[in-house]
Amino acid sequence: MRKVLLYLLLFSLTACLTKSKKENGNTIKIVCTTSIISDWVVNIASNEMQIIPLLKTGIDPHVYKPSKRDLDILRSADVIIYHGLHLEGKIIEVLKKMEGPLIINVSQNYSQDLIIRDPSFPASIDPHVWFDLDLTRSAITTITQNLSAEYPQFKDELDSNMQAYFSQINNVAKQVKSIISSIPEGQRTVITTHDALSYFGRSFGFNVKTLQGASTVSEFGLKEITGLVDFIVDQQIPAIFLENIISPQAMISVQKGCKAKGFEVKIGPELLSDSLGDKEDQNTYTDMLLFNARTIAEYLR
Amino acid sequence: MDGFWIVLTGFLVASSTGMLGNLLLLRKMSMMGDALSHAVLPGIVIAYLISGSRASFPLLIGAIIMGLLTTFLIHFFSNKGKIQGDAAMGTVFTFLFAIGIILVTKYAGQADIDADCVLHGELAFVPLQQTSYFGITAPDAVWTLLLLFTFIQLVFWIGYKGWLLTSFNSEFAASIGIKTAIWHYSLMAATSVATVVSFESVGAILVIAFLVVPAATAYLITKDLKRMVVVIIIQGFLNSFGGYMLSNILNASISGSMAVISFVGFAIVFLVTKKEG
Amino acid sequence: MDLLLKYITLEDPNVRFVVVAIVLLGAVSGMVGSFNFLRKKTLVGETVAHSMLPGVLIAFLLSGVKSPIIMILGAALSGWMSIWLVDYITQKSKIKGDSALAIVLSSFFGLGIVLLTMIQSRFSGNQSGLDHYIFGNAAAMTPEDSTTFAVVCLVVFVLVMSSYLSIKATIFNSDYAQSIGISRKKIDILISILTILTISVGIKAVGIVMMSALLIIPPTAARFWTDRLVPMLIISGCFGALGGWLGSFISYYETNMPTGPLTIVCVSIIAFVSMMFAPKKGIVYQRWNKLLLRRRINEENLLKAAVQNEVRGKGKLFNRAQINTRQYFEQKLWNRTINRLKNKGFVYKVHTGYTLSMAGRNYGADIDRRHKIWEVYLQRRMQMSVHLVHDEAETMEHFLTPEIEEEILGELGLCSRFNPLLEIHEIIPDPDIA
Repeated sequence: MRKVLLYLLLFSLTACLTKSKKENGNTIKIVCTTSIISDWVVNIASNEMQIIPLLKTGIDPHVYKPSKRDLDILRSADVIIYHGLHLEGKIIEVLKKMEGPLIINVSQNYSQDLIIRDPSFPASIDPHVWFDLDLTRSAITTITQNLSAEYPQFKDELDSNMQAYFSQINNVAKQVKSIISSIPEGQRTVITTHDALSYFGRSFGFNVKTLQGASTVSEFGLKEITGLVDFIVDQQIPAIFLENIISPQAMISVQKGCKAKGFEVKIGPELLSDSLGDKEDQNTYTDMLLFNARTIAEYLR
Repeated sequence: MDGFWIVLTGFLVASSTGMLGNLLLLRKMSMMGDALSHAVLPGIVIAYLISGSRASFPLLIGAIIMGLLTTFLIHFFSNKGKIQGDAAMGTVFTFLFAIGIILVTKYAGQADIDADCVLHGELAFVPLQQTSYFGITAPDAVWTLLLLFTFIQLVFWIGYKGWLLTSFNSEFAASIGIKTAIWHYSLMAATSVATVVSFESVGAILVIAFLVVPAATAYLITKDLKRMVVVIIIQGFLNSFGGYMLSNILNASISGSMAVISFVGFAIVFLVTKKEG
Repeated sequence: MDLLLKYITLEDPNVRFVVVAIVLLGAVSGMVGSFNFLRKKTLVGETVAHSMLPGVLIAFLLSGVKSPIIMILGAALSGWMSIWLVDYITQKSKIKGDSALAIVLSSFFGLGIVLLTMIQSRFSGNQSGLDHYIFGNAAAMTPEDSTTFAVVCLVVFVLVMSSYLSIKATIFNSDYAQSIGISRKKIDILISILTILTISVGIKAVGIVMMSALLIIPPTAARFWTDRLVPMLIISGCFGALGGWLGSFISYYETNMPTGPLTIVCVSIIAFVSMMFAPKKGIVYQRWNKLLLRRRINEENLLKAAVQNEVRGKGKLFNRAQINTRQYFEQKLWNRTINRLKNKGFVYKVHTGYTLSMAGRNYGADIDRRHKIWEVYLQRRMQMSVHLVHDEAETMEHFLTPEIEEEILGELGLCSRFNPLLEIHEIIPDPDIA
């Protein structure tokens, strides 16, 4: 019995120890935690940088479960870029303490006045900051500066890419603004289940009303549902929107409630919040902004 | 080296929780792991509301305190209220979990405070956080779990006789003047500490699985407590190693794979020892 | 007050949806939970709910779309497999119900996580939140939910009525049931069907933990009120419904109060109140009973000691010091006990001490007689040694009723006139008469 155990132990040790070493190619491997950060980095990076998203498109950071592959990805990374503001949960703690690769927290230079906090509990931060363009620029600048410091040979390329990307973002922002302004002023109210669009609404001038806070953990009660139904009927709001990470049941129930009160409200498609989409018109950061704006405008006009 | 640390971590969790799991099995409290994974929520939320930070340590303390409170409440319900053990456990953990959700909704509206987000560690990422003590560099989780393992070994062998008597035949133990309540409390307290600390290192599912499956497998093979411990430790090793291998093949969650492999082990033993009829 | 009225009259459509649905769900899960409670598989809801994850994921993989109906079918299927596995393990091995539940829970959930990560790494696309997608919120009910629950309620009722006697026999005495030809397997399957049906419709409406809680807590509370199956089903169903009604009201009255968790808290409070105050099984009742018993024992001990004091020729008056030579009383205990005896008319206060009344003397003598009868019984029938019988009799003297006394005397072949203390009454005249 003991011999068998010993063999097993030895076998497992050798099996565990024979691990492939880190490749020493010329490409710089940059691992980004979310699909949104990945898209930013793709736009500013040099060709010699390989960008790997840890969470692919369509995966919500709240429910992400790592696999063995993810450990290998982090191990092989030269640079790791994460979002911070508790978006990635406990992984942030791991990344903070990790040694070896360059680790960039994109939220490190955020202007604190721009961050939306829970008024009754200021330690709670709404992490969906990519819908605020100033904060997005700050994040991209942080990434560029850190990469340039680590790899000075790419500094000029990174800087010019960033400037080009900024003008692209500005362009898209103008389009988004004009799409939103096509909605009559009194009808600019977007209703969703959980509070992911506050920054979006603040940046582009519409109201956001939700059933529950930014957390998908908390639950709304009956008072919130009846309140929302009354609000929709009262304001004659034409449409409400789904989200890809929460059961559609809540919005269906609101719709039925409105119907029982004699008001028909449409249910719009899923808006993108915590991750990019996988369709052609949803899979980059700028497309996400445009997609959300177009969808909102189409249903609220 | 990563693989070695992961298998070692799995092994430490398996042997610490498994040894207690085998006493829980005899006391019909096997669902304790699952119950605790839910019941610690209010502890985490309160710790967060007080400290205002998501640093692991205060949350862990909050969770441990709530774990102890859970065992106390379960014992109160089953002992004073004469409710059968599983019902007492179910009532207490769903109640506490509900309190936790209410607290989050009412007071921490913007924050994602959920055991999964803020407390539970990830076995896959264990090798990434390393610290050196005594000139040896090992993952933080391994240090913590080594400490836990030593603690559980000490407690287990000190309490061995008392737990053995009170687990197999609590009426007899009571009749010869053994204070069964004290033994019960100490076991449950040790369980909740071991469980919550392991949650923090490797996540919930692995702990829930390792708390019961190896113990149940051992129980099918032998009824002798000491032999059960040996079987559990052997399995702890096989399960962690097999699970790690499976996760490599499937490219899947390591803790999930270990849970699946534990079940495969159980199923094999079950099919061999199955009663006909 | 206005809100309460609005709530009771179900004026608001959403309130109507929620209250009707949650009351029906509470009732049906209270009933179904009772069966699982009595089979010591109370936590089955927890296991089934967690075991649904792999089913949801496989359904998603096969169909490729996030359609709630397909995913719930997958969930129900894997939930069903988990229940079957639990029953199979408990039947075919010495593993108990709770362990089987935990084993199945952890392995199915583990498998679910494995599948989840495999999907994550292989397929890109819109699969976020798969594990939360089908779990609803109790505040967001629709009229369809109420209809579903009403149908499930009806089905459960019909199935239970159709084989009520077999279920009852199997739950309370499965060996007996098998001996009269009831197939245990069939009953297990029936209860599984009821459970899985309830959980799979419930989970979509109210989420995992609320569903588990509704299966666990109402039966636990109901158990305090009855020992019989039908009343238990009814009480448990009512508690579930009441909890849902109260929880929804608070959630309607206050802002940011989640309906599901509040329902759990309300049913828990019902369970707690039951545990404290239920007649017969409640803690308060039992404590009170214990207290009364302890008082009675003290009184009887004092009276007996006083009678023995008289027999030993120490006179009719007695005080604490004299009694303490036979039966020790602390000052406080003495005061309380003697006061109660005085109020009941068993003793009188005489200036330097106390004296027994006629009733008190008879009572004390009865106790002493019972003590002696039990000693004789233990020696003759149980062959116990003389040295041991006294301590045993010291306890039993308080519990022997006249009927048992009669029976023992009969068994010992002594007629009821046998009275070891008969002479005491002759020697000492009663103070009342004197």
